[in-house]
Parts: sequence; C-alpha cells; structure tokens
Amino acid sequence: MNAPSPYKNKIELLQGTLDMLILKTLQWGPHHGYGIVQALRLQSGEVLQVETGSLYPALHRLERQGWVRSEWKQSATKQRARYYRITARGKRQLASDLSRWEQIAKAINSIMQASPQESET
Amino acid sequence: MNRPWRIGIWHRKNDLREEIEAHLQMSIADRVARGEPYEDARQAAIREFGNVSIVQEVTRETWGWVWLENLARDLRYALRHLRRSPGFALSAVAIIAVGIAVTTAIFSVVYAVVLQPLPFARPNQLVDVSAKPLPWLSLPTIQDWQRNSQAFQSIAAFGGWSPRIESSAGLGHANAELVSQNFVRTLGLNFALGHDFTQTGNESDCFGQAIVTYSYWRRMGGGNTLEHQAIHLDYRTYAIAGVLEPDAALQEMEALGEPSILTPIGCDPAKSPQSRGDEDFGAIGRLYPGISLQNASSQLLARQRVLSGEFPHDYSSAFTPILIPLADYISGTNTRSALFATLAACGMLLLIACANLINLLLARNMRRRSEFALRATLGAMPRHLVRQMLAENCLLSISGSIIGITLSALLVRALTHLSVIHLPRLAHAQVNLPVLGFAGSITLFVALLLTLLPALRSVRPGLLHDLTYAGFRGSSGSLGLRRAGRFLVAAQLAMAFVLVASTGWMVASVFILLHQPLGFEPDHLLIASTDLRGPTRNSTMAPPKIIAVLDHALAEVRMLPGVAQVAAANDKPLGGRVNRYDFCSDVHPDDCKHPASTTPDVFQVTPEYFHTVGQQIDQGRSFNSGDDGQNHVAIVNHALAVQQWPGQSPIGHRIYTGDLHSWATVVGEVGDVHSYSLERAPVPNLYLPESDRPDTSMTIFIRTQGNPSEMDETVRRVLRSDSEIEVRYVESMPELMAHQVAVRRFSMWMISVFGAMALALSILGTYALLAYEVSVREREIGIRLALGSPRPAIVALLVGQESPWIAAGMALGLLGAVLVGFLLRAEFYHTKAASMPVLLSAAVLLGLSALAAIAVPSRRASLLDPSTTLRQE
Repeated sequence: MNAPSPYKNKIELLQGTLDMLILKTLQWGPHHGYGIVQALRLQSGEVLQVETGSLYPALHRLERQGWVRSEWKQSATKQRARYYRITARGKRQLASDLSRWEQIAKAINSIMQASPQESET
Repeated sequence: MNRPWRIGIWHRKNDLREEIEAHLQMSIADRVARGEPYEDARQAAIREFGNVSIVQEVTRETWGWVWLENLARDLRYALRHLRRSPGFALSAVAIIAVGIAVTTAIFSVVYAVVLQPLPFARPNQLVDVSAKPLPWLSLPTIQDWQRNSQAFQSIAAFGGWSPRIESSAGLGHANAELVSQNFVRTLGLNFALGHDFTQTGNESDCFGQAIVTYSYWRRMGGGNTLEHQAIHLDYRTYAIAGVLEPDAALQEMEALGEPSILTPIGCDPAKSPQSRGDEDFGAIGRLYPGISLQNASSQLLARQRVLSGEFPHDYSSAFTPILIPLADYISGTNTRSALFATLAACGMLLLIACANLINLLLARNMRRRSEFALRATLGAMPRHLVRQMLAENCLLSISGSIIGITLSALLVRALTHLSVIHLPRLAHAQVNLPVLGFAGSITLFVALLLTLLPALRSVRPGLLHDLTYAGFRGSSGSLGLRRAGRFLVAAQLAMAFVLVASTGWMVASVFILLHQPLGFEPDHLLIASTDLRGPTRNSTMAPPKIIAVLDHALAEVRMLPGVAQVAAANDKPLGGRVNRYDFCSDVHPDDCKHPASTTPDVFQVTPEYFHTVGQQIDQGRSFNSGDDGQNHVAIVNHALAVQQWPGQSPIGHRIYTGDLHSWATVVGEVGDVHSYSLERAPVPNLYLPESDRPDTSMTIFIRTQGNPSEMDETVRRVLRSDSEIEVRYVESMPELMAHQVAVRRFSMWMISVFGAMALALSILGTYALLAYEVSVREREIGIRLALGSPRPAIVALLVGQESPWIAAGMALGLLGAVLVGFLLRAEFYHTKAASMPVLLSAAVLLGLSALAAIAVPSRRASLLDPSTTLRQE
C-alpha cells in the first residue's frame, strides 16, 4: 500500500470547477465514472483525486442539466459500465465555463503577483 | 401513486448501484493487473471509493426525489403512531371532517352564486343599468341613453310579466319576460336551435314570437325542430323563434326575473307604446371594450342631465342613472354580503374546532415528551421532529378532508335539491375544481395550524428533565404548555362569543323585520298586479272607461266566495315604486316652484282601500263614493302630516300635487306603512281617489277569509275572463314578505347552527382542559387534601385559576363582537336597539356555560380520596 501522500488529501475544488473538469475530460470521448477519476488524476499530475461522493452527484446533475448523456456499454475488459458522453449543450457550457475560469484565474493571478506599493497607490 | 413513475425510481436506484459496482470492479481489476492480490485490491478499492451508501444517498439527492422518500417514511411512521391511539385519531379526523365539510359546502355555494363568471359572452363588459331613487326606467329613456353612445354598444330592456302559460310542458310553472329586441344580442347568448326575434316590419308577426330557455325546451319535450312548436301565453299563441343554449341559465337568475320564456316588448323601436313616465323596465348594457364603469357612468350622467333639461316633467330632480357590474346585480348585494358573512362564520367555527384539536395535540404531545427527547438524543434535528409532526397532522387533516369533501358533496346536493333557499345560480353549486382547490388549501392550513403551536412547545425539550420524568404522571406538566392550552381556550371562547352574538343579531333582525308594525294587516291579503289596458297596452284609454273596467273587475272579484273585501291602488305596500310629482302645501306654497326631493309618493286608491289593507285612519275620514274626481280631496299619512303641519291636524289644509295639476283639500290622516320594502322605513305618502286621475296600472287587494294562496287560480281566472285586463302576477302578502326575508332567514339559520356548534365546541374545550389539568394534578390535590385543605377550597382554587382566562376570553370576545357588529351593521336590521340585550345574553350564556364546564371537573377533583391518589404513584 502506498502511504497517503500529502497531495492526496482533499484539495477543495472551487464551486463549479468539478463540472468544468468533467466536461473537459469527456471532450476526449465517452468515459465511465472510474475512468474520469483516473483521467483527472493522471492529467493533473497525480494532484487531483476526485471524491466519488462528489463525482457521482456531479455526473447525475450534469445529466439532468442535459450537458452529458449516459448509456450502458461494455468496456475493453468486458466490464459493463455506464459511459457518459458530452452533448452539444455541454460543449457550449464548457466553452463558457472555460472563458469564465480564465478570467477568474487571470484576476486572481494579478492580485497574487501585485507588489505592495502598487496596491497602496 | 402512479406506477410507471415508481418503477422509474426503482430502476434508477438499481442503475446507480450497478454503476458503483462497476466502478469498484474496474478499480479492483486495475490493482490486480498491477500485481496486488485480489483480496487486498478489493479492500483498497472499497477504501478508496469511500462510503458506498453515502455516495448513493448524495447522488440520489440530485434527483430531487429524496424528500418524497422522507415523506413516505414520515407518513408510515405517523400512520403507525396514530394507529396506536385510535380514539384520538378518530375524533380528530371527525372534527376536521365536519369543519371542512361545512366550510367547503358553503364555499361551493359562494362560488356558484357570487364568484363564478356569468354564463354570458365577455361578462365583464355587462352592466346593470338602473337609476336612483328607484331602479326602473322607461323605454324612451333607455333608447335615448344608448343612441350615439360612446360607452354602450347596446342597452337592452326587460320587464316582468306573469301570463298564464300553456305549452306541451303543461300549464303554468314558469316565468315569462318582456324583453327588447336586442336583449339576446346584448347578453351575447347563443342559440341551441332557431334564431333571435325576426323583424318583418309587421307588428303582429313580431309580437307572436317567443324565445325559450333550453331547460324549458326540454320540459316541452325537446327535439331538433321548431316546427309546430308553440306556446300559449294568456290564450294567445306564440311561435318559438329560438331555443337558448343550455349554459344560459336565465331561469335561475332572480334579478332578471327568472325567465324561461322571452317575448318582445315592442317591435318597432320608433313606435314605442310607452311614454317617458312609464318606468317599468330594468336594463342591461354592454360596454365597449376598454370603457370603464366610471367612464360610462359619467357619460351617462352627462346625457341624463341634457334629457332632464329637455323633459323637466318626466324626471324628478333626484333622478340619477346608476351602473353596477351585472355579476354583482345578479348575485345581489344583500345575498353576497350574507353569504360572505356565513362563510366567515363558518371559518370561525373551523378555527374553534382547530383550537380544540390543538389542545388535544398539546396534551398528547406532553405524554410523548419522552419519545421526542429520545429521538433528539439519537440525533434527530428539531426540523425532523417538526416534519414528523407535520406528517402526522397532514395525515389527520387529509383523511379528515377526504371525508369532509365527500360530506360536502352530499350537503351541496341537499342544499340545491331541497330548495331550502332560493339563490341565483344555486342549482349550479357543486364540488368542482375551484372548490376542491379551496378545500385543499383549507386542509393544508389546518395541518400547519395544528403543527405550529405544538411544534414550538415540544421541539425544545429539556432533555434530561423529560427523560428522567418520562411517564411520571406526578409531574404536573410544563407551565408553558398549560399556558398555551389556556390561551387556546380563551381564544375559543372569544370566537364563540362573536358567533353567538352574531346569531343573536341575525335572529333579532329577522324577528324585528317580520314583527315590526307594518301599518297594515298582511295576513289573508292577496294581491294581483294588473294592467287595465289589456294585453295590447293601448295607451289611449278614456278615464271613464278605466273606472268602468276597474269597477267591473272589483265587483266580479267581490262576488267570489271566500272574499271579504276588495280594493285597488296603483301601487302596493312593501314593493312600491316612486310616484312623485311637484308638491306643496298651503303653509309652504313656494315649494311648488323649486322641486324638492322630499315630495311624497302619490297613491291612487279606491274608496275601500284603507279598510281592505287594514291601514289605520287616524283622523278625518276615508274616501267614499262621493269623491268622484270633481271635489279634489286627498288623504295624507302621518309622516306627511308631521312634515307639513307639525303639531296641527292636517284636516282642512290644502295641498297642491302635480299629479292632479291642482289643489286638493285634506280630508283624512292615515298611519304610516312600509311602502318600499320591509327594510326601508316609511316615507311621506299622499293618497288621492282613483277616480280623480284614473291609472291603468292597478294592483287589486283581496282580503280573503281562508288561505289567500288558495284563491290564486280563481282570481286569475275571473280577472282574465275580462279580456280587457292583463294580470301580471298574483301573490299573497305573507309570501311576498317571506320572500323579502328569505336570504336573511337562510343566513340566520346557518349562523344559528354555527353559533350553537361554536358554543358547544368551546365549552367542550374548556371542560376538556380543566379535566386534563385535574388529572395531571391529582397528586398535588391529594397532598392538599391530606394536609387538611377543605374541599370547597380546592374548588375555589381551581375555579380561581381558570376564571381570569375565561374572563379574558370573554372580554376579547365582547370586543370582537362589537367590532363585528359595527362591520356588519348593514347586515343586521335595526339591531341597535337589540344590541345591548344581545351582547348581555351572549355574555351570560357563555359565562355560565364556561363556569359550569370548569365547576364539574373542579368538584370531581375535590371529591378525590387522598389515600388512593397518593398511593397510586
């Protein structure tokens, strides 16, 4: 068993960020829940471990919103699993999420990098 | 619950379980592939996944159905709980059922009579057109009002007619009405069969047409063809031109004369047989879209001002047009306020019943304190406990309301079929969608009301205290709970006081109305309204001819067996119209030059009139056959004598009246009568001999020896055999009076029933509270007795503790009753005089009953045997 590494402790995702990440992951093709967790972990460089208690409610919520659709399929290893696929509306949502995210990231960045003198003027 | 949808939930639940299982399997497979042993891999996968059931639960929450599962659980639990105390559950359901049944039934009547839109096209555009001081209009006035009007698309006239009706539906039993040609068009009614009146230009063709309502058509045998279908009105044949659609239930609208048959007033509007002074008709106008009632009113007022200038002799100075929405006119202002008052009384009764139930619940919850405390310690949040209580109360009120709605459907059927009361459109009352909506909201309201106070009192349990003393009957209950109970009893008494006082006022109103001095003798009096010009309404009839026709008719009727006296007048008491002309007396001769609004109503009467109707002759003499129209004599009533010659005898004074266009000498003074209605006080009246200025529209008064209603058919036959007389209607005076108080009487009965129930319920509540109090304090009372307290002191202690609350409730009730009495003063007739006695007797009735209700348990408490009560624990 690998010892729990510090980054495996919960990184609280910003509200709404998980939805964006899931949609982004699904952009590469349909995935099941387990696959999404793995993909997020790998792509984040092992930093993000999404809790199943957040993932499944998020997936079901996204499906209710009509941003993803699901169907039961056989995986490569013959395991029957529920695959989620992004919809056209989901793609539009992702695009708007992304631009909003970029704005926020830029704003936070500029605050964090500002020198004290500048902020006082 | 509907099944496919439940299957949906099950399906999704299984789906989620499988989805999670797949997740775990893939996780295990990955780990096994990396070389971990299967069992370790499984453990790790499960650990990594986290708590499966929590994941399932939070995921399911996104479906939005969890509350439903919670509700189902709460309801199951509530059901189990109520089953454990069936006595409580049954009585609670019964109380709610009765409350909801009565409230819903009354509401369905209110809905059908008042709230439901009229069955006419675009009913909001329809207005009733009438006038002050009395509502009737003449045809020329109506025509002038609608000519080139910017406000009215059209104004239709209608007038009552009560002919002898014979058709394939049989003889009689329907009302006919004279209507203007545009009547059906104005109301926007459609025809099930046939068409509107046709105008051929030939007067006689035009008169011979009738339009019937669908229900009358059904009674005539129905069918799809109008061929060979005719009705006979007063022995003349009318072809049926059209049959109205079933929804247009004109025959139920009392304000319109409940007509089943419509016939034209006249055909060529230009050749109206009516003169401007013949104010015989009601009118209905249809406004142009977007024209407001105020706008139409001011336009009409301006037009009437011009007309009054043109025809100063035809309109009194007080004559003012009035518009009210047709819906209000048809439901009737009195009916509407009476019904709403009844509904309010009913709501109050429901509140009293709820207060009683809340007391029951409080007492029950006190016994459940240990249960609530235990659940709270096990982690139930206050909101869970409240939800649980709400579920129980919902269960109670929903079962109560299902029974209540069923009951109310029966009640409504009874009300509409037993013809307990005659209300417009009452026959349409049924438990329909809006009524169900109302019942549903009431049910929810009851459930919330039942939960609110007990929840506030019970969900903050003193855990330790409640667990420790759980089930220990010696503990005398939390003070707060008992205060809540007493507060509720006080509130019940206050509401009961208001209802009992209102009952008193209603009863007093009806009693005063029916037993006030009328100024004449209504028993054994039959009245027949006639038109001496006959059915053709030929307006040119010579005065001597009129007298001859009338004398002949009176003589014919006088010869009938069972008839004691006969007379005629051009109007009747309790339903008279305004008949005002310029007037002045010898003391104020200038009054004739500037018309005053205080001019008396003028009646033309035959010599026997005062004797026949039983009107008192105070001074001087009655008319006699010597008053032949040449000597110009007059009789005044007491009100007119006091108005003109205060403190003097009117005999010998002279008056001028525009009716005669001359002066006349007063020869007598008679007592006052209610000439307009039971509810309107007597006004100054002037009586002239019929022979002085013969009128063709005469009411014949017949004093009978037996029941006047039995003479109805005979009198009609005799009068109609004289082809020159048209009979409008025949009615007995007691019938007419009963009709005038019918709505009041209905409200009186309803509110009396509610008042009695309110009294019983609130006394029961008072009794139950004290009985409960005594049962809880048995031990304390036992100790007091054991320590030597005398028994009367125990009674005094308990009564003394409760009395302030009862007194407070009564004081509040008194205040409420005075307020209600003020708000409903229009509803109660002349009850100012009865106000104090009613309030006083309500206070005594309620106070004594409440004292008795607390005295009985107090006495029982004082009779306890301390040796048994103390050993019980």
